[in-house]
Amino acid sequence: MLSLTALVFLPLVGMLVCWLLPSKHARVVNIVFSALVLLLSVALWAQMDVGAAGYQFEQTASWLPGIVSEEGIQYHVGLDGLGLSLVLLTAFVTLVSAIASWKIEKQAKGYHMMFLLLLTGMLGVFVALDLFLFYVFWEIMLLPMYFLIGIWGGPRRQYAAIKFFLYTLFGSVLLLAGVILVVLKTGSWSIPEITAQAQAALAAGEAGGILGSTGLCLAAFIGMFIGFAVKVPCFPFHTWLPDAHVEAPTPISMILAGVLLKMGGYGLIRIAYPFFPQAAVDSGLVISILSTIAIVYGAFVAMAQTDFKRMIAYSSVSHMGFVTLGLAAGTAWGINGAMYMMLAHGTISAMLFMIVGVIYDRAHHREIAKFGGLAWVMPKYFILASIAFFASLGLPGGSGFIAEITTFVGAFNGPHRIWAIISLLGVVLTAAYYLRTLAKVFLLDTPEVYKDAAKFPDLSAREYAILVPLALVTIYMGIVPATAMDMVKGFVEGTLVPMLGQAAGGAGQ
Amino acid sequence: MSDATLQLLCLTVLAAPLVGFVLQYTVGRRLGARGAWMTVFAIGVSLACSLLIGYEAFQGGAEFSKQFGPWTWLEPGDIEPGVAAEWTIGMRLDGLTAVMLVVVTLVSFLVHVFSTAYMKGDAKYGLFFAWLQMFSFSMLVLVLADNLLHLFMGWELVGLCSYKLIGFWSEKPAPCAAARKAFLTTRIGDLGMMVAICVIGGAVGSFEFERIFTAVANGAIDDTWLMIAGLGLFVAAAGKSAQLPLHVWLPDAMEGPTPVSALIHAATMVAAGVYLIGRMAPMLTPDVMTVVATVGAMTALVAGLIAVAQNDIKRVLAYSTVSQLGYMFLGLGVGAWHAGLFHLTTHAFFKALMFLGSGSVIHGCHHEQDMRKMGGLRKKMPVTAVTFLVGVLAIAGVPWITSGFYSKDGILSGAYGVSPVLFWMGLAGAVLTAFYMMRLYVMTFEGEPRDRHVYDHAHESPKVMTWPLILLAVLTVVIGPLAWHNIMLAPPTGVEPAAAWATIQSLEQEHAHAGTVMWLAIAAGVGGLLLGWLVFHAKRDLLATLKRPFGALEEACANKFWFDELYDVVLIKPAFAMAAMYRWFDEHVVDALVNRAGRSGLQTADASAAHDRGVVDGLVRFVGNACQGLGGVFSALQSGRVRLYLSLSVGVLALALLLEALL
Repeated sequence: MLSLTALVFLPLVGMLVCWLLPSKHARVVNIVFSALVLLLSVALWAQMDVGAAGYQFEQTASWLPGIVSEEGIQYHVGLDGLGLSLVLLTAFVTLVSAIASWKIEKQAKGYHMMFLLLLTGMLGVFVALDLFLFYVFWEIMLLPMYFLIGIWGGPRRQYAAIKFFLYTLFGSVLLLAGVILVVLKTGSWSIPEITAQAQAALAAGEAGGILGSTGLCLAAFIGMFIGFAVKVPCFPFHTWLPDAHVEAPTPISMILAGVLLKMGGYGLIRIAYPFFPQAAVDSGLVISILSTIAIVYGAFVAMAQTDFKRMIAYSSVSHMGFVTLGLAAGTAWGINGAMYMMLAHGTISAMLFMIVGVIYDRAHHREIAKFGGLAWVMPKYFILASIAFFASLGLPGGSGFIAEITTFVGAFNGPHRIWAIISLLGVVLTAAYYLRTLAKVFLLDTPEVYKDAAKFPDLSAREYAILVPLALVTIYMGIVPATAMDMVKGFVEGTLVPMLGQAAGGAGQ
Repeated sequence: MSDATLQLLCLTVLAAPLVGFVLQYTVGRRLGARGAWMTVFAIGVSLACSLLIGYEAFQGGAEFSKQFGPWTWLEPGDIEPGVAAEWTIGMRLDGLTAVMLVVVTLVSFLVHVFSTAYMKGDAKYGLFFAWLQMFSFSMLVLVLADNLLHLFMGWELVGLCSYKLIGFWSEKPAPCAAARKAFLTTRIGDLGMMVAICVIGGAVGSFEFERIFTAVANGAIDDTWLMIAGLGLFVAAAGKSAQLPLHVWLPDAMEGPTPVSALIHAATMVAAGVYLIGRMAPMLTPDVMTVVATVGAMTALVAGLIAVAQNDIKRVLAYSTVSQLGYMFLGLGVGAWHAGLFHLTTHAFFKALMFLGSGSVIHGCHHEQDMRKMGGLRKKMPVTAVTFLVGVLAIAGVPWITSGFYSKDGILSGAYGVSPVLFWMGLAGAVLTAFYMMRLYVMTFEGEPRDRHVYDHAHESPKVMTWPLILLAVLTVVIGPLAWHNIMLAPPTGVEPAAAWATIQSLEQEHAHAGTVMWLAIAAGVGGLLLGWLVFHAKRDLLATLKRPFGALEEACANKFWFDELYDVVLIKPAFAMAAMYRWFDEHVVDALVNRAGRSGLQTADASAAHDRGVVDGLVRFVGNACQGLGGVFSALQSGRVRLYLSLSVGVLALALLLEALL
C-alpha cells in the first residue's frame, strides 16, 4: 500500500467516488481523500531515511520504450527529502483547502473532482523522475486549475483563467523545448541519469555540459528557466498571478500560492540548475538582479494596492524573489534558505489567503480602506491574522524569519553581494505594507457596519480548523527549523551545491 | 555554585516570563487581578534568579565568564565553499550579562507591580501583563545570547513587543501610528544588523561572540568589511536606542501606557542598542568608535535642546532619555567602556523612577500630561514629588550622593582624554540636562497651581504604586557608590586584544582626568539646576529676558528641529509616490505588454483565418468544417459541463493505465 503510485493516484480514486456519489457528498469525499493523502505522505515520511542520498520508494515501469533510448519513456517515480518536503506541504495545504471548500455550492461535484485531479497533478510533479512523466503531470495540473478559476472564480474569472492558462502554457512550451533538446542530446528521459551525466561532464571539465556546447546549454537553460520562472513567478513574468489570485475562490488561491508557485522553484532546483550548472552560474548575476527587482518592486507594488487580496498576491511576488535570490547565490545557505522560503511561504501564504477569504465571506468586499477596527469585533480572527502577518514579515518565532535570514546570509556570501544588500530594503517595505494593512483593517475605529455581530461573527469552528493548523505549522517551523531543513539538505548539499561550486570554480580558471 | 546550577538559573530566568506569557495570554487574561499577580510572581522568580546570578558574578570578579551551549539549532551547510557555519543557540554569562539581567528583571518587576494599580479598569488589563512578560522575555533572550543570530532573535522580538505595547490603545490613531513608527524605524536600523551578520558569518564561519573577536584579532575580516560590519551594528543600535537620526520614534512612543514607557526607557528596549555596542566593542574599529562617539555627543546635545521646549511631561522625559542614551554612546565611543555601561545601569533606575513618577502624576491628575496645567503638586502627592526629586538630582549628577554623578563623570573624564570637542559637547549637554529637569520638576510640583480643576482633583497614588517609586529612589542613591567599586563590569576576557580593542580604556585611564573633569561636571550639573530653579521658579521675569536672544532656537527646539517633517518629505511621501508609480508601471507597462502579446496572437489568428478564407478553397473549407466541429466540442466543454470533461479525462487516464498494463 505504501507506494508513491498509490499516493499519486489516490486522489483519482477519490475523483471516481465523487463522481459516483450524489453531489452533496462530494465535499466529504474530497476531505476524506485529501486527509488520506496526508496520512499516506506522513507514513512515507516515517518509513523514509530522510537524510540519505538518492531516491527512495522508487518504482519503474516500462511505458513507451524505444523512444530516443532503449527504455524510452518510463513510468518512473521516486522520493528524496527534497521531494518529501514538498509532498508534505502539498498534502497539508490541500487538506486545509479542502476544508475551506466546504461552502462551495455551485456544481459542487465538478468542483471537488477538479480539486482532486489537481492534487494528483501536483503530487505527480514532485515525485516524477522521468522527464516525460514530469511534463505530463505539469500539464495535468494546468487543466483543473483553469476550470477552477474559470468557473468558480470572481467576476473577471474568464479573463484571469485564460491569462493563467495561456501564460503557463507559454512557459510550458519553452520548458518542453528544453526537455526535447536535453532528451535528444543525452539519450535519456531519466532525471537522475541526466543529472549524473551533468556531474560527469563537470568532473571531466567539459565546458559544454550535457549538450556538448556552452551556447546550447545556455539557450536550453534560459528556456527552462523562463518556463519555471512563469510559475514562480519571477519578475517580469508575474502579472498573471495577481489576476489569478484575486479571481480564484479562496481555497484555490490557497493552493495557488501555497503549492503551485513552489512547482516553479522545484523545477529550477531539481531540473534546470542541476542539468545546466555552468549556465546557471553564468546567469547568476541576471537572476540576482531579477530577484532583487521582484523583492523590492513587488513590495512597493504591494504597498500601493487597495484590494486586500491583491496586496497579498504581490507580497507573494516579493517573497518568491527570495527563492531565486538564494538559488542564484549557489551557496548552501542560500539554496537551503531558498527551499525553506518555499516551504515557509507555502503555509504562510495559504494562511494569508484564508484570512482574506474569511472577511470577504462576511463583508463581500476587499477594499482595505473600507475596513477598520475588526480586531475589536473579531478578536480571535485578529490573533490569527497577526500571526500570519508577522510570520510573513519575518519575525522570529515564525518560519519566514528562518527563511529570510538563511537566504540573506547565503546570498550575501555568494558572488552577487551587492544585490543581496539592495534586496534587504524589501524587509523594511514588507513591514511597512503589512503594518499599514494591519492598522487599516484591524485597528483604529470600527465603522458601524462591522459592529453587527450577526453579520460579523468571530471565526467559526471550520475556519479554526483551517487557520489553526496552518499557524501551528508556521510556528513549529520557526521554532524547530531543523525538521524541514534536514529534508532538503540531502539534495541541496549532496548534489546541487557541489555542482554549482565546481561550475563556478571552472569559470574562475 | 556549580556550572550546572548557574545554567539552571539562567534557564529559569528565561523560562519564567515565557511561561508567564503563555499562561497569561491563554488563561490569565480572564482572571483580572489574579492573573496580573501571577505575572508579577513570574517576573519575581526571574528577578530572584538574576540576583543569585548577579551575586555569583560579583564573587567571580573580572574573570567571571561562562558559556552554556552552544547547542546546534540549524545547520544550513557551508556559508561559502568550504566554510560550514551553524546556527546555534547558547547562553553567555559574564559581568555585563549579569548586570543587565539584574537591571532588566528588577525594573520589569517594579513596572509589573506598579501596573497592577495603574492599569486598573482598562478593558485589556490582562493582555497588558501578557505582553509585559513577553517584552521581558525577549530582552532577557537578547542579553543572555552567546551569538549574534541568537541575539538578533531577541532583538526582533523586542521590536514586536514594543509594537504591541506602544500601540496598546491602538483603537486610537495616535498610539497606532506611534507603534508603527517605532517598529519601522527600528527595522531600518535592523538592516545594519543583518549586513553585519552576513559579513561576520561569511568571514568567520560562526556567529559566536568569542569566535568573532578571536577572528577579528587574527585579521580574518578585511578592514573595509570590518568597518562596514561595525557601522551596521551601530546603525542597528542607533535604531533601537534612538540615536540621531533614528531617534524620532522614541518621543512618539509616549503614546503607550506610562509603565510601558518606563520599561522601554529603562530596561527593555533602548538599553538593547547600548548593550549591543558594549558587547561587540572588541570588534569595532577606531573609525566606528569615532562615529559612535560623535553621534552620541550630537544626540545628547540636540535632544537636550529639544527637551527644554517641551510641555508634555512624558515628552520631556522621552527627549531626556534620547539625550542620556547619547551620553552612553559617547562613553562607549571614546573608549570609556565601563562608564558608558555603568551609565546604562544608573540611568535605568532613575529613569524608571521618573517615568513611573510621571505615571503617578498622570494617574493622580486623571490623565492630564500637560505640565502647563500642573504646578504645586508636591502638596498633593508628597511621595511622588520627593522620589521624583531624587531622580532629578541623579540625572543632573549632583555630586557624591547620586548615582548619576558617578557614571556621568566617568563618561566625561573618558571623553576629556580623547577629544576636547566631544568633552565640551558633553558638558554642555550636562548643563542642559540639569536645566530642563529642574524646569520639569518646578513646573509640576512647585509654585502655584496653574489649573485649579486639575489641582483640586489631584491625589496621591495608592501604595502599590508609591512603593516601587520609593524602592527605585533608594536604588538610585545607593547604586552609585556601591557599584562603582566593583569589578563586575569587565571587558570580555579570553580575548586577545585586537587593534580595535586598544581604544578601550582601562578603569585607570578613564579616571586619569578625574580631578579637573569632576569639578567641571559638578559645576555643570549644579549650575544647570540652579539656573532652572531661578528661571522657572524663583525669578520668573528672568525667563522673558533670557528668551529674547534665543527666539529662533526656541522655535526650532519646540518643533524638534523638524525631523519628522523632513522625513515625511524625503522618505515617506517619496516611498508612497514610488509605490504608486510602480503600481502604474506594473499595470500599464508590464501587464499591458502581456495583454498586447495575447491580443496580437488573436489578431494574427484572425488575419490568417481571413487570408485562408479568401485564397484557399475546398480543402480549406474542409479544414474549416473540421475546426468548427472541434470548436463545438470544445465550446461544449467550456459551457461548464464539467462532468463531460471529467469523463473524458478519466477515460484518457484509464486508457493510459490500460496501455501501461498491456505493455
